[in-house]
Amino acid sequence: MKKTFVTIVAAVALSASVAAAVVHGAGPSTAELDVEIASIKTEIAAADAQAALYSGGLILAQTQLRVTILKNTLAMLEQKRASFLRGITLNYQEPTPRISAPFDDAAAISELDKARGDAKATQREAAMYSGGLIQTMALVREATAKTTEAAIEQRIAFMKLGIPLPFLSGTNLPVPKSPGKTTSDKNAL
Amino acid sequence: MLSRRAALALAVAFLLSILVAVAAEPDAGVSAPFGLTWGMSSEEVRKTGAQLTANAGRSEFGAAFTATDLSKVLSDTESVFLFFGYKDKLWRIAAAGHPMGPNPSGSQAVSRYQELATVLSDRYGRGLETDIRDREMWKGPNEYVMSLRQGRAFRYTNFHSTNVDVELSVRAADSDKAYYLILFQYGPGAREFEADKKVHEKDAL
Repeated sequence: MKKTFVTIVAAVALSASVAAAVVHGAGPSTAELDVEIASIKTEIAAADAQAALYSGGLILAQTQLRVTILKNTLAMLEQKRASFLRGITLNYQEPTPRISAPFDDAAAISELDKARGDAKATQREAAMYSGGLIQTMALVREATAKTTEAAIEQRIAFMKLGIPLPFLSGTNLPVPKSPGKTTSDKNAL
Repeated sequence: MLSRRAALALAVAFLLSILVAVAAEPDAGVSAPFGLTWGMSSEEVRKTGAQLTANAGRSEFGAAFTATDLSKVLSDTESVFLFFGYKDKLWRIAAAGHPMGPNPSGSQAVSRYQELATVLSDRYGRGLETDIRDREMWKGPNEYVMSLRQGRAFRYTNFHSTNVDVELSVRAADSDKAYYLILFQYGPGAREFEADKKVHEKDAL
């Protein structure tokens, strides 16, 4: 009797752990997404504030590029979160096989650490000067490192959510067939 | 024996019933865009020289095909999709334009959309436009296509004629390219399709 009870308990515990593993493996939870969304929003606000300091030039262009990358990441995360809340299965399919090599998680994190280190180093370097060409160059390098950081963060988010990496356009794409003989708008419609 | 007046009344009633029956039948032969005719079968479309490729996957509008080599299309149309419902009768057409860009403001696609709206209003009557903009996130002039892509902005015009409903819209292909999409729907065919769909669903259950 006791043996049967122990067997049942063990079976239930095993089923629960398998179910937990399946649920965990299905993707990030809403709470995890909320944390990431909040983090990206903070980064967007910081980048916007930095962009407001400039009226033009390379640093502003780099900062705006970073804002765009971050906004893209945010949009994607919000879409994923909305799909969870509304019970929609969101699948991202590749129209053609990906050209870029499969991305390695550890390599991405290493790249991210390097970009963050570069950004901090150039930030410190810029802070050593009160103006002039050397400070400007350091600020440009800082803005570039931060853009790289935002792009790597986006790639990591893509990996976490199972979204295929963007592929290079213009190669191996099928040439679409013409839908027909072209004519004037009025005649065609 | 019927009187002469009663016989005449019967004959008139008989003729009227025939007329009503004919009117109730979806009227095939009404001209559709791209040199097609509403109600024609997929085989009849092929006989015009067009090539049809069955669309993979399930269509919510019955049999669906991508058409090429149509006798006439717009100069910048990329794809034309034809829908034949459950009884192999053309009742819905979708035409998508080439994505225009890089042009994150969407000005090129919007300009083309406006041109097409004018042409469509000449044929199908004045349209009713809906233009919803994102006022929170993607609100910059160079973020319009992105706002369309994220479903935070919409721009479309609906046209209604006696038998045909048309929806013209601007859609985003990606974050900086937009295209036009025109949906044509033949009213009698749509009603027939909806009735068939109910039967189809009932049978499936």
